[in-house]
Amino acid sequence: MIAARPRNILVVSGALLLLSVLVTFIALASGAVTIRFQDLWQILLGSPELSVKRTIVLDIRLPRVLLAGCVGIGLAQCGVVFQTLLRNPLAEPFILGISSGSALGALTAIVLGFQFIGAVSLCAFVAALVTILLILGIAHGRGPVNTTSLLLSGVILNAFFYSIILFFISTTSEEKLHSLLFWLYGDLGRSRYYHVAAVAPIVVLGGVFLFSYAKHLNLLAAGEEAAHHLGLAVERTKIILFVTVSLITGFVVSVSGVIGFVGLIVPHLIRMVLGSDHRILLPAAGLFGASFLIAADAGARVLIAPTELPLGVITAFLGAPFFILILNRKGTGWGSS
Amino acid sequence: MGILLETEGVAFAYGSKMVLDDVSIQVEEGDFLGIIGPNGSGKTTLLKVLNGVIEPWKGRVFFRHKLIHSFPRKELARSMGVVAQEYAFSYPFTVREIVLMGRYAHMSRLGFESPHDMEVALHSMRSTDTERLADRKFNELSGGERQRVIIARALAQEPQIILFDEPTAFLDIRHQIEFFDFIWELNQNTGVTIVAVSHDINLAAQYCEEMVLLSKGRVFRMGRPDEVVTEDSIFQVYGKRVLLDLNPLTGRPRITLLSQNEAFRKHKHKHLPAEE
Repeated sequence: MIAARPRNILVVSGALLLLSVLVTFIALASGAVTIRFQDLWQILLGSPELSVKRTIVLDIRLPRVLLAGCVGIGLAQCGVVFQTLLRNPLAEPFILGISSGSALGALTAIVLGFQFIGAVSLCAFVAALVTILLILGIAHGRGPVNTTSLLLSGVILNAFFYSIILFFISTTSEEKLHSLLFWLYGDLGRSRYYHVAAVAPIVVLGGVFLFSYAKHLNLLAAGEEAAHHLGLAVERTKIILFVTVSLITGFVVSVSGVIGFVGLIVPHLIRMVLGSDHRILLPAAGLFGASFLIAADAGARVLIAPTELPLGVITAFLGAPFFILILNRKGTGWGSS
Repeated sequence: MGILLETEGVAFAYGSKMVLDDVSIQVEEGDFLGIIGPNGSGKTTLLKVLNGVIEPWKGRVFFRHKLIHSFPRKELARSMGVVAQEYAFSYPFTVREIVLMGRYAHMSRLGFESPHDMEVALHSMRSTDTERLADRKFNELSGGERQRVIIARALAQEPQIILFDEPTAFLDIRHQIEFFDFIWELNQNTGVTIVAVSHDINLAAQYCEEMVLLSKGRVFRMGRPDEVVTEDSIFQVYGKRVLLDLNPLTGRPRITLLSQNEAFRKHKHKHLPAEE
């Protein structure tokens, strides 16, 4: 447990930022073609030699690594906020059905064969927005936002959308099936700089905005009624936060597909090590989420190179045992005893 | 001493079930007020109306002569603390972190706790004997310790008034008496106004200066303990006869529960109380 003092927050964030820079370098160097660090350094400094490797690093790997970092930040921070808002340790960014909603959008684009730039992402994003409106509409229909009805509408919407997704899958052609499945399990293989340009500002500004609500989130973690007594305008705060994290999730999922597990375990890991104060939890989870996803994506490229694995396979495969290890090692005891 | 908190003809219902009906009470500055009544008489709901968490259907609630709902929550929290019945945190927080949450209402949006905030929190922990628990996790504490932490958090708000909901419901007798001694001292020494909803008629009658007896959502009687706790009022509200005498030490009313079982009474009662 680390007290949320400004100095501690800077030290922790600095250390985790360093970690993600380190992981970025390793991820840029690794892949089907291994690139030595000296060469990598030369390329990043703008040396015009090594033209093939230059293309590999700058045009293929760099946008992908940057996008993985952005997606990691977004998913981990949204996971933190969803877990607190819904008071449920199983909550993650996709729990309200935003994933299946945007998956449906993406699949529509793939199946109908839209060809314009960013077609899949655009359709996924629009579908995510529609899903968010649907969920808020259903849950907000009867008075104040109730966490249980929100969770239930999310689960129901998820089930409904997945039935349509399965319908698509069972009726589509072989070659489209491959991209469908990759999207459903997370894929950064299509990363371009314009994806990074679209998502980076959202994730960074979103992160700053969420940080400005860190103390509010602490109060919400103490229970909604207690938050009321301590001076928080609970309903307004909840709605603002729900809309914010849903939007960030929608943006992120539209460029990466459904990458599970990051938004679930990274928040818990950081909580176990650093404590539950959101002023330290939010930035730490975001930065660690970036490192985690960059590393996982590098793993997806390297493990059975030259073939690639879907990213979700790696995050769950590495994440689950690691998580169980930590869970058993530390006496965590959360929830009411 | 003026009126600090006041309800005027308050009514409230959950669905179609009327919980409060035409309740008008006044809490004066520096009061030590106890609210008693049977299960389902609306005690907890009245407390929620008093702290502005629920808005009554009818009637009005005034805090310092202003409508309570005209206060921003943050401003209200600087004057009013609430200690509810039970607290559960979704994730592990330390005691110090929890007590510092009481300073939220005094802090700017992006600000961190100032040395003054730290000082107030420390002082609150000292006066509730929770300083030694500061680095422990809340969920690992015992019921009595948890309650003291929540009281410390309410004190850290530096409130003028603190509302307690069934504060002794989950405590053993040692902690019950420690609790009432503590809030009595708080009330005497710092002038903090106390409103406590309680099941325990005897404890409430010993410590409170004013009492409200609720029955089916209405105020049955209001006044000094000896006016409110009488054989007659208890019979009318709870439907049971009790033995009432005066506590020889305080001169306050004291009730003893009576068995309804005829055989038991014949067998065990040394001399039968005057029959109804």
